[in-house]
Amino acid sequence: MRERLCLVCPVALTLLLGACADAPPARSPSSAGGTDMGADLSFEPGPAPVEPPRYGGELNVGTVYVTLSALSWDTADWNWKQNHDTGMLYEQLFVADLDQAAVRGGDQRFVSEAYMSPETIRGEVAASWEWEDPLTLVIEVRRGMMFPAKPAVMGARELDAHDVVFSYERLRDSPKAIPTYFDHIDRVAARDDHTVVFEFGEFNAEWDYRFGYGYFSGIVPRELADVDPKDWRNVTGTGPFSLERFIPGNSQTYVRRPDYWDRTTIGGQTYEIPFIDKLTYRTIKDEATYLTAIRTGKLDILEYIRWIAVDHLKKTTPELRWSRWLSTGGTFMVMRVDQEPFDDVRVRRAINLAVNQREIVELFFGGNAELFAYPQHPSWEGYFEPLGAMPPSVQELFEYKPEKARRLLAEAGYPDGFTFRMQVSANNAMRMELAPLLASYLDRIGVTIEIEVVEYAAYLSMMTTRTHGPGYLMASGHVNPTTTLRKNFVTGQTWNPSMWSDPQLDRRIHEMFLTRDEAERQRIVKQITREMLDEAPYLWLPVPYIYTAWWPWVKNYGGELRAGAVRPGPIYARLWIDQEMKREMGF
Amino acid sequence: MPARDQPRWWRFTVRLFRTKPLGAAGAVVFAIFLFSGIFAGVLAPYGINETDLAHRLEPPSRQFLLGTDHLGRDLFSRVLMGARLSMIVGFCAAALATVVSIVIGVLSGYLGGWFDMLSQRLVDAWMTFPDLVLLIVIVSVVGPGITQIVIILGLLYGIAGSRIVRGAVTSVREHVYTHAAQSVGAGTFHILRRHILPNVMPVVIVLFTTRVGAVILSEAALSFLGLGVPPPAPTWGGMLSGDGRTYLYLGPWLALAPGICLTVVVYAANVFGDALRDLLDPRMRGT
Repeated sequence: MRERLCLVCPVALTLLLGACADAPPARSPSSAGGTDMGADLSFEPGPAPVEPPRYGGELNVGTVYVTLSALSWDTADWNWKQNHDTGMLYEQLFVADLDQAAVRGGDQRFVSEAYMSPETIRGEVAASWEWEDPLTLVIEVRRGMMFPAKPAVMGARELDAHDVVFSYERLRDSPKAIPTYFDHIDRVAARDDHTVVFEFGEFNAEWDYRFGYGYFSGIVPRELADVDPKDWRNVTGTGPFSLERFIPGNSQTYVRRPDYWDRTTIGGQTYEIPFIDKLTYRTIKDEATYLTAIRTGKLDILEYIRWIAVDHLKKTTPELRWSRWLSTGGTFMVMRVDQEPFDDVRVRRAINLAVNQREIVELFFGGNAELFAYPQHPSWEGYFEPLGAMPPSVQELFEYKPEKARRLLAEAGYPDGFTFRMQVSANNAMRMELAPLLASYLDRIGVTIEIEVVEYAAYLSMMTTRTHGPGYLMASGHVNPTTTLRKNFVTGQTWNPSMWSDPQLDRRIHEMFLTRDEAERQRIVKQITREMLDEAPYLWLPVPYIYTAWWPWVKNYGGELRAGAVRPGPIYARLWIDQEMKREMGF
Repeated sequence: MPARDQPRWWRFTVRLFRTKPLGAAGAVVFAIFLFSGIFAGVLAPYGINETDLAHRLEPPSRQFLLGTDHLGRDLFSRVLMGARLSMIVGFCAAALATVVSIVIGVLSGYLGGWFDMLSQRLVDAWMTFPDLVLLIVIVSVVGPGITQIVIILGLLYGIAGSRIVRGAVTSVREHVYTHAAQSVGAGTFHILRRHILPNVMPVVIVLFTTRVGAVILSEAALSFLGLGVPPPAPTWGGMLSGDGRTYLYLGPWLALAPGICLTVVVYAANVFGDALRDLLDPRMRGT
């Protein structure tokens, strides 16, 4: 009897709970069909705020990278996440003009990972700039930007042109520098204490990105040369916050600087910023835990929520405010073209044809994804071409043709398939779920994936040291229309995990950067994109829509994510907390 | 057939059922899981990694006894295969642990002297580290995988368990028959094989059975932390951790099925082990 009960009870209980479970979320109507008809990039511009802001309070954020702690505090490490963690301390030559944000009555979302059109940029460290001649850029450094006193590092002083030169040279001379990144710059020099001159050897279409608002653009104090730059205790900048504490894997706490130089305008009145006293990045590795944290008010903002959690959150926590955005990073499985069997384009194409992408969009993502949105992002007008405009051979890569996949494998000498190793990082739940799904699809054409789950730091290191396997499931930011081609496909680039190498393509991409005429540049970008898609160095996977949620007591905020390359710092400096409302709501 | 003519194992089984019904039930349940694991390939109605997105997150039904997961995989098939993995890890690691415990415990307990002192201080040092911390550190270094986990868990529990075997050996070492063997000039290996080992076997058997449950639980903990057997292998701990938690609201059966199996099999192993200890240890009789 007992044994029978042991078996019957679990089944009965699961049946009961099955009946009680939430219904699976409905598919998103806005992108139902997972189509190539064009991404849903719509958003509602909010009315300009009229409430007078209030100072004080602490903001707890689960950022877009909520599962990851700071990976490095040293700009010379050329770590992609640096800006995200130091962007509220280290300022840059240029920054997003956040007054153009939808929440302030503008028409910008500021969710793009690292792409800003020239009209949305304003000077940050740069008070003004002008081209002295076609290859000489003169930047006037803003006066009154103060480094705070930092014991054992430096006394309080004003930022000057020599800091800009020092920051540039430190990056340029780092052994970890991305190849070709600063090749267009001949010399950077301080003409006087508040004037920096950039002498270019050649024009570069990304001049404002590369050392202006890009990933590797933070202006650090010269005193950093005399201390350990990797120690977070030595990190200091002119930004709106100071780093107070860093607990790896747990939190990063920043405190307000009362003497910050910048101001913001709300309702026609100018205010000192930042409004909040304290900003804390919470690092939460587990998805269920960070979802609980936003639901229970432990987080004020959670910037990264997958579609599967949205319906339940909306039901249980109807007070939350929401924004939805198409991910600014592509998800794909890299195939190393320098190794067998992926050195054969037939094998790479077979892998693409074996995966039912439309099914993934429709059912795995519930319609909350775009079938085709990488390496160019649909929001990049003039650069992005929809799948329907692609040549038939590119369009075919997004079709499900397992029979043809088998045939291609046989032609390439793999009639019985093959086995390969694929690394995936444990830090991302979506990719952890995609890995077995891909394994299942490929299993149907006789290809076996040996999934290797790796902790993020080791996973990233595998790619940068070129020790990653033949397969590597990753997400990589779109960055901007030109960088996405350079970093993915130029020989020797750090973020070229397929190890693509074609001297002719390298030359063409170089020419693309030299092209001043944007229309011509767009033509080149489109042509190279088409060709590289056709070569299938990656298994191009759908790009998902992501949700951001925040509590209504977070004011002057409309879901903006980046004011530079993965740099949210200036955004947090402009929002404020309605502490009274928070208390009234029971938090 | 008179009771005394029946085989010893049969008499023991009857005694187990009569005097320790809970332990006997544990044995039965454990055996069910064992056979489910062994014949998982036959019993599973679907492939364990056979995805079918059209049937994702379906609750338990006739078609899918325990429902499906977020990739449309049949949970019943995966739980069965999870039983196989748990049993493989449980038995292999517990067997290795037992061998390690016997080697260290018997030598340490019988030889005594400096060897005993040295080995037991090392065991002391080993036991000061929390199990889970040691497991996480070692697996992080050597990487996840069935073989690694079996070896690590085997050594971990084996070294700690040697203290119990040693205790039993030090007692048996002082028995008259051991002294008699020594006095007639029997060699150390002979004495260990013929006199010591057979007399500590009840302790060893109990140690083995309780270790099976502990090892299964540890493997589940490691898988829960993402350090166990890599996906898409369906371990119970892994099923509880990733999908089980992520889809807790949409599909509670994802966590419930492996969770209940884990609880039941570990409980069964433990009550069976307790019953064996009671029956095999003369000091426990009548308690």
